[in-house]
Amino acid sequence: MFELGWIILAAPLLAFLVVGLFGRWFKEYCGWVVVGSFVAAFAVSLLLLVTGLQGGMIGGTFETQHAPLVVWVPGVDVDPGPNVTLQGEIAFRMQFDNLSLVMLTLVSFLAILIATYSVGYMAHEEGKPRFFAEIALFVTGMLGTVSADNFLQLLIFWEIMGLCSYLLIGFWYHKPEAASAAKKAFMVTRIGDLLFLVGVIAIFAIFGTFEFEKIREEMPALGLAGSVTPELLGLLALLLFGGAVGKSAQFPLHFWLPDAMEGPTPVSALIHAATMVKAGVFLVAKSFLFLVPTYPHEYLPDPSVAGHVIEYLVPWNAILVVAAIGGFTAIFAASMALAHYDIKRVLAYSTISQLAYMILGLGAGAWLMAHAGGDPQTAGYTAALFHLMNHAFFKALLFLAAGSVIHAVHTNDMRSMGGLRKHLPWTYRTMLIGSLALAGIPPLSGFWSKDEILAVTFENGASHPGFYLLYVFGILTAFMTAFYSFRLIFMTFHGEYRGAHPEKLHESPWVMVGPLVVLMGFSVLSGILPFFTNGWGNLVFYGHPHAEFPTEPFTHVTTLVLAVISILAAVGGVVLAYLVYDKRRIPAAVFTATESRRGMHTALLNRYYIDPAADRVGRDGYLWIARGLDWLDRKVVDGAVNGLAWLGEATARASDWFDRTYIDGVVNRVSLDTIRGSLTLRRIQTGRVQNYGGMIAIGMALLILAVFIAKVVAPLFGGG
Amino acid sequence: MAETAQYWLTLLIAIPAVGFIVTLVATKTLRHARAVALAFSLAQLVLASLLLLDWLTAGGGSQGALYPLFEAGDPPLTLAGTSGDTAVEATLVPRSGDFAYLESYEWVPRLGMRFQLGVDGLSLPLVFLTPLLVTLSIVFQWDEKHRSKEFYALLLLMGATVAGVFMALDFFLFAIFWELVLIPMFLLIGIWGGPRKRYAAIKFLIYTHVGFAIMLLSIFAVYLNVTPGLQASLWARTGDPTTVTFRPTFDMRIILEAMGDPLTRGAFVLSLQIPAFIAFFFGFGVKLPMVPFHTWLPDAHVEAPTAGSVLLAGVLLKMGGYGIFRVALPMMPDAARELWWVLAVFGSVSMIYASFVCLPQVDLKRLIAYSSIGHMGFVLLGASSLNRVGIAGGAFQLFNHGLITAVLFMLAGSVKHATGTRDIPDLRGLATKLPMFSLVLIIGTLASLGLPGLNGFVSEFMVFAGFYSGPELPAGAAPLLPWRALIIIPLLAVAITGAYYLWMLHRMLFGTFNAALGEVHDLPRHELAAYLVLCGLIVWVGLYPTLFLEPFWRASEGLAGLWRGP
Amino acid sequence: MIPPEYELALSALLFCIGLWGVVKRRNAIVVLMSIEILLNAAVMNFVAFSSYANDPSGQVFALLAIAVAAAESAVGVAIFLTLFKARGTIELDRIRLLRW
Repeated sequence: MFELGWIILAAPLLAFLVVGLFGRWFKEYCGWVVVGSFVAAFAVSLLLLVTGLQGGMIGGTFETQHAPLVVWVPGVDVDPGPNVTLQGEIAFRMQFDNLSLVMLTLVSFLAILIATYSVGYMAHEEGKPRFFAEIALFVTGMLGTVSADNFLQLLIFWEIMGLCSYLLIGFWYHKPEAASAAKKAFMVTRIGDLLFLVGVIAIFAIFGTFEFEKIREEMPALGLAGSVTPELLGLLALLLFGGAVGKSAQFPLHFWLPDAMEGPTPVSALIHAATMVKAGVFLVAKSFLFLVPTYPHEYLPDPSVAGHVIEYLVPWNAILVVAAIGGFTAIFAASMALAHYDIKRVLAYSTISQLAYMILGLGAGAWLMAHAGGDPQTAGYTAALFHLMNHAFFKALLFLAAGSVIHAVHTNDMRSMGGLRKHLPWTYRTMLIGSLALAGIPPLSGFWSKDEILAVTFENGASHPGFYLLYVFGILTAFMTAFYSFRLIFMTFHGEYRGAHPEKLHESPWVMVGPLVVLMGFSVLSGILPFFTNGWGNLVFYGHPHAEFPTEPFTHVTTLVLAVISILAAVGGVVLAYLVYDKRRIPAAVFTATESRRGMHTALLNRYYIDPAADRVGRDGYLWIARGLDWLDRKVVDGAVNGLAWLGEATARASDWFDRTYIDGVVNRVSLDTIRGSLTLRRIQTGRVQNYGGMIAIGMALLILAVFIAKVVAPLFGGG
Repeated sequence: MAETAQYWLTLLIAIPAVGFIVTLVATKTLRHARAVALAFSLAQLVLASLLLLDWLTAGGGSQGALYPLFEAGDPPLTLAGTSGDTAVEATLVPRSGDFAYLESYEWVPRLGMRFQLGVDGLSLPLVFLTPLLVTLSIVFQWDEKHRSKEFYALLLLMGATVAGVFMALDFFLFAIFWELVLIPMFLLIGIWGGPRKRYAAIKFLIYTHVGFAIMLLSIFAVYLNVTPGLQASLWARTGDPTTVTFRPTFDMRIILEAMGDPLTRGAFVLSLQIPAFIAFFFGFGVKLPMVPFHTWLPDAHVEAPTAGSVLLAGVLLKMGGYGIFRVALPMMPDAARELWWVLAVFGSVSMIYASFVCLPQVDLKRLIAYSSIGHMGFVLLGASSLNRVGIAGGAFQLFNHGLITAVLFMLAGSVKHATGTRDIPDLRGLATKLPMFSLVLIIGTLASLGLPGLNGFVSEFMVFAGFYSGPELPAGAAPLLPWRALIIIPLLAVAITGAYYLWMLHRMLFGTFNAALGEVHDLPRHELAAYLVLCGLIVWVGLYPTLFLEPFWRASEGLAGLWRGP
Repeated sequence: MIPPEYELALSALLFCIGLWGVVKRRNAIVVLMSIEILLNAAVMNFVAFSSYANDPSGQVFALLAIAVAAAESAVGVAIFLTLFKARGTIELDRIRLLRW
């Protein structure tokens, strides 16, 4: 059965190719082709999920299945350490365990809904083939990420998603803001991706493999041998977390997400609310391999500890970092959502904040699990993933509904909206339910998961007081979340319409409203699920499969007091919003009444000035270094080369001068002297016979004289 | 002596060489010249492809699908020497799988020169890449009207000489081909180049020539030192105790064989190896190019015609990398073990420095030139890892980068052709008017910045992974792991690369179209054809790298074993 | 007897006069005449010694010399005639074809 798994990836990929290459010729049907491929993927995912459920997912006896795909790099023989020798190729396989089956089904389902919505939303837009092709490729990436069998595969599909996010944010590329936002998204996530890459490389160097299961199996042995230490595991976990921080827009790599709203609304819903940003959370869940190392299912040296936490290897500090970033980002982002007027940006900050909740949940869950030791206490882990699922539904709903509103009023600014509940009834109803879920009002889904996360955080406070602080952050965030989500509702739907063309307001077509209703249903239902799945904790758990696993992990830490506090916070937020924005008992101006409050408000609106700071460092700093190096290269390095060339030339010229003047000079001098000499000598040839005669006479005379001297005079002197 | 029955390798060189002459002499018009040139380069490509096919179907040997057509045999190595007064000859069967395809003829035995050509896993993809790029550049610059026949003839000559470098297995032959390569490139830049062509061409010639001259010293060091030291150990291996003095030899096979076994390294001691290694490193490094000996490249590229740039970046630069893997690492392994950090440092500096310098560039071609320098840094980093994954990754990067950079330089040519300028500030909003161009630019850029799914990622990842793992040391040797954490530094280059490419895309493609450019037309058919082939390969290799990785993988086995120890 | 010194002195004197004329005078005919004087001086020398030594060979030589001188004068005049026809002058100063 699981061999059919490849269809899940192949269907959207095929849709990408078909629509991408040939979409030109059937522009109007591109969307439906893509929706169809998602239906196929969903069908298979659901089938596999059901098979898994029957195979014991809830009871915890489901064995992880694999489906092979493709061999990437042929056999790798590596010897990473003295005790471990591994061989194997780098191959791609799909992994089907509890987590991946649920995620696959969730993602493909949401993809269907959002793609259907897009057909309506993009009906009058240009470039439909390109849009739907990119959406299809994106979904392939997301499905590939959650079904990955090893870290390298995860990384690859992760990057593919990043690419599609870039392309889709910048879909309307002739708008400079969109192009800018796309570039920003890609660059900021790339920084995170780099840390992820380093982590993957380090994993390979230490474990010799990328596969999750193999890493799990090797962990105890390497720990005993000392090759793996808590510090090392902490480093690995944090490196991977770096990627998650980027992709899930946590502080400090969060600032790309609000600008990403420049893309079409379905893109915001799909990528930046429901799926891609969840990939970071998924990665953190996967990195529990390092955060909470456990013995594998069958541990031969000591079967009694199979599935238990390896306590001496736990990286406590790393866990704290994860939880702290989650907790801080939650309140940080929520604070910014309070002030913004752009409906999509409010939702964007809300997403960051809710993702932070999930990260906090995972961090707190890891702490709980590691601290309790023995059989893993999975409460926090499951709560976070539960929240992931819930949030996917209601956030997608909120974004799509916002898109519906924007479609009607042609603006994102809430100050130009108001009173829309009369004109867009279905949009209003669905959005109201979504906001209630987001705010965490029981019995809707958001309450259950958020409350669970907060409960786990509080419980951890007993072993580390820092968690109490994080708990306070969480409660404050809950309050703020309720406030801003209902501020949004009241500003948009209640009161009087403040916009320009009231006559043009209309409800959206069924193809857009339909998915909203479906999502509304799920926002309500997904809260009820745990009670039917025996604690939901058994559906998505971590660690050793247990034959019986009652609701215990789920209700284990929930106390009534904490639940009441959560509810109070949420309701308080709603009430405040109501008073300010609906009933107008408290004027909104109270928030900007004093100097300090105004300053605070501006700071929030300007996102704490982080974006300009990032620009200064990122762009200006980089440009400064780059220009400096370019100057260096042209003037100094190349200057040295040209200088060498000049030196060579000068030496050549000097040699030439020397050669011409001195060496050649000697040659010339000899010839000149010869010529001068002969010029003088030739004057003897006067041509006059008489002169010659005279010369003969003189010569004769001299000769006679010489003979006379020699023969007569010399003997007189020298002879004897 | 020791001849093989094949002549295919010589044909690989002879076909384009003959084509060069024919194109130069026998053609008259542009249409003739390009058709004839295309025919010859296609012939070379077909032959190279057949060789590749044979190798792959044989699983890395020479008895593949086209056996016995390409059967090479494994001729034993012969060494000439004297024992006392008598001339003696020793025969050695090579220890490990040698060259899958080999051609060997006696040339000047007294001086130890053989006319020897061979192809193994390292050179096979490069030998395939060369005619591929020559063919594609002929197709791309289909309308060269200025002195057409000389132009296409010179492209063919490049195909011949570079193939010769990749296949030469005798140092003398290697040196000859190495220098011959300079001639057509010099002419291509100097005649068909841009405004500063004379400066650029001469700079290129002299710079690389100086590098070669220094390398020549090393060649002689190797020539004189390796074989004399073979004596005792060699005879010990064959069981004969006679003392023999072997003649020096240029034969690379013998040298590789000798240096491959620690016992036979003999007289070529570390103190000799180190300067030789450095000189080779300098010579290959100038070609690679590596910072700070890189400044000839941007000028050469900016002034060269598009086909010239494609070949310069796609094939000429690979000669440097090839040299490191074929010559520097295996023939001076002890020096490599000591000096790995030199390679790593130069590689990292190249990567980061060049990537930074890309950003402020105004001329698109100069930007791409610097990015080439940066990517070649990966090769050095991979070589410095001294382990299988890193070496295979570095060598694979040669191949991948060849494809990617060919696309990028062609794009520079396309944009000049379509809009009349290469200045990035003037090129804005092109996506609206030039969709095909934009698509190809995005693919090329993404491949270059290492997006998974495209070929660049595979080799870059392997380089990093290999570098971090370090050499496969014998058991008990101290690990080098702490130093290897410095990997974060070259990794920064990946981020910087992403930044400047995105910035470039952002400026060039998105936003509103620059009306000052006037009428622009999208890619003509012949350019599209070239892009289709290259992008297809980029995607294919990215999704299924095994096919082209396999040859490099096999080659890296032998190389990595050098430092693994017994 | 005339003492030979006087004869020798006379012939020396004649020789010098002749030599001077050959070298100094410009007119070719005068040069020829000077050459005659030179030859006469030589002849005189021969005669003087013949008389001193009582040997008739000297006088034989003298007669021979006179005969040769006459022939040589004839040839010389012929040459100068041709020269005059060719050059229109017999001023020896003007005939300098073989100069530098």
